[in-house]
Amino acid sequence: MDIFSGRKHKIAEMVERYLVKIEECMENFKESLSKYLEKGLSTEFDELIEKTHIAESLADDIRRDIERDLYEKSMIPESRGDILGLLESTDKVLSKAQSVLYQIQTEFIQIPEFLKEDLRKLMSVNIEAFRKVVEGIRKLFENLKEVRDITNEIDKCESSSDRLEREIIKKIFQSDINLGEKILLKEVIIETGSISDLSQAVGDRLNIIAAKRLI
Amino acid sequence: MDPRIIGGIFLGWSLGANDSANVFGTAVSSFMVNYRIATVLIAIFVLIGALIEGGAGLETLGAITEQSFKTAFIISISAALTVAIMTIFKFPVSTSQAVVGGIIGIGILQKHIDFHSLYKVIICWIGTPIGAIFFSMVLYPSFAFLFRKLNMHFLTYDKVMRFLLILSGIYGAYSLGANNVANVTGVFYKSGMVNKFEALLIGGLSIGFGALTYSRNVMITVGRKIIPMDAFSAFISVLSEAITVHIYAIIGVPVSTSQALVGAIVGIGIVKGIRMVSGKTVLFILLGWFLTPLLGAIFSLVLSSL
Repeated sequence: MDIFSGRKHKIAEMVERYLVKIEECMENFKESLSKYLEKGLSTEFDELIEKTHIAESLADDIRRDIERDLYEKSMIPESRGDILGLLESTDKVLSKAQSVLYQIQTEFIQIPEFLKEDLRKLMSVNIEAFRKVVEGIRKLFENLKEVRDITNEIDKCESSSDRLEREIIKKIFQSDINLGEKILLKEVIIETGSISDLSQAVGDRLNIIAAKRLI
Repeated sequence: MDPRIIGGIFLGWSLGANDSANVFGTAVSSFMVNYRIATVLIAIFVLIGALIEGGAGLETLGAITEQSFKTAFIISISAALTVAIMTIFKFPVSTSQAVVGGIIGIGILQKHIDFHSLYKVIICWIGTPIGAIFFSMVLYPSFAFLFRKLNMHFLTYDKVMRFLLILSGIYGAYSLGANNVANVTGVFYKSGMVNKFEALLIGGLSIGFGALTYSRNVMITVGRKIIPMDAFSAFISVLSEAITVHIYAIIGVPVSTSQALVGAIVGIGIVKGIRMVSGKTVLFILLGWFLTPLLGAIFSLVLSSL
């Protein structure tokens, strides 16, 4: 119960706008990868990358607005530092997702048929980890006590992603594609898996922020 | 009014400049409250505290020994010199202890010290950090329980915390005025130079003047020492300090706000199971209990013989 929540906070509203935008960015990322797995390198894939990039830039703008607002408003430095740190670590997850797409696009990566299903699974687990990050941030502004449950789910996603990564890399190196391709594919897998690693880092921050306020 | 009251005004000014940090240091040095607003709040509430509850301390300090206009002036100058020297040597000095030292010096010369009042004062000095430890150990878990129950969200917590820090600072300023005004004008009141209301008014105004004109540096220094604490601990420490000092104001014994604050921080450390105050700080406080009154007494003896 929050007995002081009569008026909606401006910062909370801005954070919500940011969350909606990063969700959109992640949806675009998902769509891009799905299209790529379906059709390979294509104009549609390029267009979706552009869409992801635009959503990411808009999210960045909102983040900067929030940062400016935080400095204009007199807040406890502890709160200000916590929000800034949280937004910056969330931004790293988005940048990672975007860099996976650019890596595929610029290095002309071709995914062999036998890896497509595994990559789809890896993508879903990592996107799920990020969705939980968004949910966790929302809980910070709704109910601190529920933050821990969400971060536990992020941890689970990260573990699944790690396991999947190892399996996929093993499959890559067991196959008879050439070594150069194997190395490039391995990099894409590791980069995709980094989304959940970075999501876990945001989850750790969320836990600390909540714990400090639940004393 | 005798111009020698200037000794008390000067002491009040230095007290205000030094002790403002104990009530608003954290809030100001972490930019939660604007320095100017904080000092205005301190000046207002110190004066209110002095006028409403400062009278009891005047009686206690007055009872230790007889005073004339001259001895009152000597005591205030001795105390001011003691505070200055201890500050130069970076000892956490208590104006209350310096004033009592000065009074003892005069008492020795007059061969008249009311030991009953003196013991009461000394027991309260020892009881100050202990009382603050007790209050912070009780208040920390109590407020923590309340906060958990309220389960405020992130931004509400921030607002509530800011409000509580300002509120505890205001209460701290009130307690500072109520408790410490006797240090400033207690001896002048006893000497008959001023009446009770004048003593409280002049004392309260001079402490406020010190806060308004010269408290920034100490505030920043003290605040930065406390800042590593989270906002919640900072609030509990100032509140515990304020309650302790307020209680001694009601009892009528001027005590040290700095020592109350250190005690409060020690208490929070005990609750959290971590050491938040160094052994050196505790040793300096214990040393200060002997050195400060000793120096005050020596100065008043020397100045009296001039």
